[in-house]
Amino acid sequence: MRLSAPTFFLFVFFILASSTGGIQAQERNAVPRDLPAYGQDKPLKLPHVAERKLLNGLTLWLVERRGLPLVSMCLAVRGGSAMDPGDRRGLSAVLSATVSAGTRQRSSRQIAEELQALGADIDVGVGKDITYITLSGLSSGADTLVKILADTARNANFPENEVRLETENALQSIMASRSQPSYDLNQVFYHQLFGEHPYAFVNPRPEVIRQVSRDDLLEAYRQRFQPDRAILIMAGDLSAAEMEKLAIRHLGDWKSSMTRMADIPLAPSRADPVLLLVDRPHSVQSTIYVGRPMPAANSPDEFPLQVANTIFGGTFGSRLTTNIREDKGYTYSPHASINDWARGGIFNVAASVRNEVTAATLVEIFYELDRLATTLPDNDELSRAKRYLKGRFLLANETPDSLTFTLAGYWINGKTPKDLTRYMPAIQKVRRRDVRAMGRKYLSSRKQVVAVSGDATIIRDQLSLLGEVKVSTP
Amino acid sequence: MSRFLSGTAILLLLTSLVTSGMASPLPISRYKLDNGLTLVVSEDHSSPTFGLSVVYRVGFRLEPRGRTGFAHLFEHMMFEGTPHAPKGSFVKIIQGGGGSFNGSTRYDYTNYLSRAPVSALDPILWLEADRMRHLDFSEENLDNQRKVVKEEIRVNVKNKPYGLFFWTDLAALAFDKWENAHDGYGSFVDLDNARIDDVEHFHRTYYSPNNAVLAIAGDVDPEQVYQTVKKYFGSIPPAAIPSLPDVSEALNTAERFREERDAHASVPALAIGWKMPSPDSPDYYALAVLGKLLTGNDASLLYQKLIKEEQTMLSISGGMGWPLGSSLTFAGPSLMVVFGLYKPDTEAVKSVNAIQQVIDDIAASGVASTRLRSVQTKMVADYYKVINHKMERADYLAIGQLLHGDADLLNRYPTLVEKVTSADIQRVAAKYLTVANRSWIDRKVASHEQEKKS
Repeated sequence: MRLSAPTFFLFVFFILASSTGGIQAQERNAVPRDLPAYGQDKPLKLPHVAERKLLNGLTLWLVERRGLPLVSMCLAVRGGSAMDPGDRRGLSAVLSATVSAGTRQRSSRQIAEELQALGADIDVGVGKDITYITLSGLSSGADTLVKILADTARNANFPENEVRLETENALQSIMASRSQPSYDLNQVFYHQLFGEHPYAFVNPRPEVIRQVSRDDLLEAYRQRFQPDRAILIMAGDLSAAEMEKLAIRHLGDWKSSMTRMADIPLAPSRADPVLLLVDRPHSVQSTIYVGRPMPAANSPDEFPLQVANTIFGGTFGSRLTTNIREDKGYTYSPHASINDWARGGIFNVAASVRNEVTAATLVEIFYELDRLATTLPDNDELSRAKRYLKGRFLLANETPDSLTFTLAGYWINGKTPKDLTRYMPAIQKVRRRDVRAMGRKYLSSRKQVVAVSGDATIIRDQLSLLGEVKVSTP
Repeated sequence: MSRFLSGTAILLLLTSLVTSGMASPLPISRYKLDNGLTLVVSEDHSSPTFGLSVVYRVGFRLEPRGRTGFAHLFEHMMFEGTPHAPKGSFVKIIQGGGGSFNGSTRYDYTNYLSRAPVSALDPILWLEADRMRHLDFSEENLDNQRKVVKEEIRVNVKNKPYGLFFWTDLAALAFDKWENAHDGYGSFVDLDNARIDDVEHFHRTYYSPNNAVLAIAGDVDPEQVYQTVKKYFGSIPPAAIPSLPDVSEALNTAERFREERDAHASVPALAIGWKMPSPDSPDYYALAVLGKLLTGNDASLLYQKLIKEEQTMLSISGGMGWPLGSSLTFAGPSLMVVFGLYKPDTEAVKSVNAIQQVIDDIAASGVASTRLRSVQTKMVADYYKVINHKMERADYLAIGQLLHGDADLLNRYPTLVEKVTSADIQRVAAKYLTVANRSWIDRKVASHEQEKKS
């Protein structure tokens, strides 16, 4: 699952954050002489997740986590941007901005002020398959927090003035984000990967946003926010019994309308490997995307794919970063990722490079992809990738906030809390030849779509060395 | 080699428990090695992981003249290998141990962070000691990182709408002393002029055990960590640290303004900065609270005024030390910043005047006690949310110890926030957030390329 934040401007806060070194070929196996060995892995303390179901169909996953006096909660429902009506693609962006903008009992300002007094933030987000409201604050205020969460999940009433304000803000934010190098590129890339499938949708169109009405929002809200399509996840400094009591108190009498919604079809699993150029005149950099559609969540290839991607380009120490950042200095932050959603997935390599090395960077990306598909990784590389993924899993579930987030992703993708215990052993089982098999099956360069955003007058000639260049506009 | 304990912090904290409820103080053990390295350990056995921060007392303010951006360039060099751990082994060992790491350069310090399962603690400590002792001072590494840094600046500044003008340009406008005003990212000319001798000299001068604090939070035993740290760091020689320059500045006495054009943005923006005092000022935490009252979140006064009521702005961010830090991360002057996008069909000055009006009202009549109380609660809760992450906890412990000799600042912080009164807020608003002490930038849209497209 990929959860995306509600519409606001993301600026880079971790500027000046730096990262690291890679490995030159001759030094690949050098380990410092006096370096102490890793210690024994300590046994995992996986959280106990109490699973309940209320009579109205609402699922509860509750985790007692003692520590600082905090509690996190997430009420998630099935249906996200991929569920927006065909003539209202982007509706979800306005929906997420207005769900907490007023209920039958509270104005947006009252909600903000009540929450502030409890040290809490509310956040409504939309992913491709999910819409969710998260709240985290002081556990001493848990009763009121659940009450406000329930109020927004059950009684949002989309006041006209708030809808107008958010529509206008959404329009401005579309304008602002249009100037980001990745804006048009995303649109072109996702369209090439997913065609007419709703997963292709990335950028709301201004003319659609302008038409979104209060009735559209209410309809989408009523369809999605039903107890039998929802889960409440809570984690923090409170007993599971106490959490359950609060859920029953504020959500126990929530009635379902029992309406059915059509399922999203499976997304395409392959795309034509073309070379697309999105012109961005005067750009001082090229932004490169390489990738393809991937299997939906819970594929049997899930774990070997994660390991293969980690070796290829998922970390600072990966082959790709070592090659194009450390050895060649082409780029500041190349990155490769594999994401899966309920009905499809994506593999994506992204790198911003200076204009003159655009084609040269692609040559290196192709080389590393094909190396993965043709040769076996060495043992050391494999065990590093596995330790990395296992450690990241441990660290990612350290706080109540992050655990809640992980569990919401599990739920929408059809996993259960038990999957928390399956992750580490499944990663541990991956062998060298599984990695090469993933390279062959999915990652070789000839299977990838390439899309580049940059100044066409400067980079078109270089790119044509690699194949036929199709200039594309979103 | 002494171990100092803190009794006062625990007593002080009790007053804050009344309002924010029941957090017990963080356990803090401190040690000092003979070579001057300070170690801070905070035990937390909730998961088999740890967070670690090594913080050096050098940042933008101390970089050499004619070498803007050098502290940050140097930070990159710290990841490029040593005579014992060749280029690449650092990342290989940390990520291969299941961990992750980062580094950042700020005005008064540079920090090196990592987090990992505890099985990787010893190798990571060894690596940190190794690069405190020596680096691989090669021209090739320097050249390579110079390119990487320039690419980073292209991504974050030159190729991006707004290009961080609310940090670099605003500081240059508001401050007079070079230490506070110059661009911490650096000019490409200065970056090109950096020599390997500069790198060696910088390491020898500032990257010494007596100019650093190492902090660890997590599933560890303090005594055992102390023994390991002594083993790896104990023989690194201390250095003579140059005395710190006086970076304090008086408040400005006349408003400063600048208009800019943005080649990438399609919506105009504005940024305002008021000069703030150093953390030793009795007004400091009142100003931090005032910053949250103004720009904290949707309940904040400026959000309600500018976005909801006047509807002349589209977004508002800011606060004390924003975007590079918070009240806990400075040893010298900083700015109170308000940054936001404004609607293209309005003039920036209209929003700036409305912002000043909100402030002048506070200066004239203070804030309601319920509002003040809830902002304080929010600040303390937000602070807990941050230090709930072990790496951030270790970082704040190290920064508090390094800048103020006081890791216990973490336990006192809730009280410092909660004891601020409405009268304090009124006083500091009137003294600091004045038109005379205000510097602001109107960042207009340069091209009409986007409009033509749509």
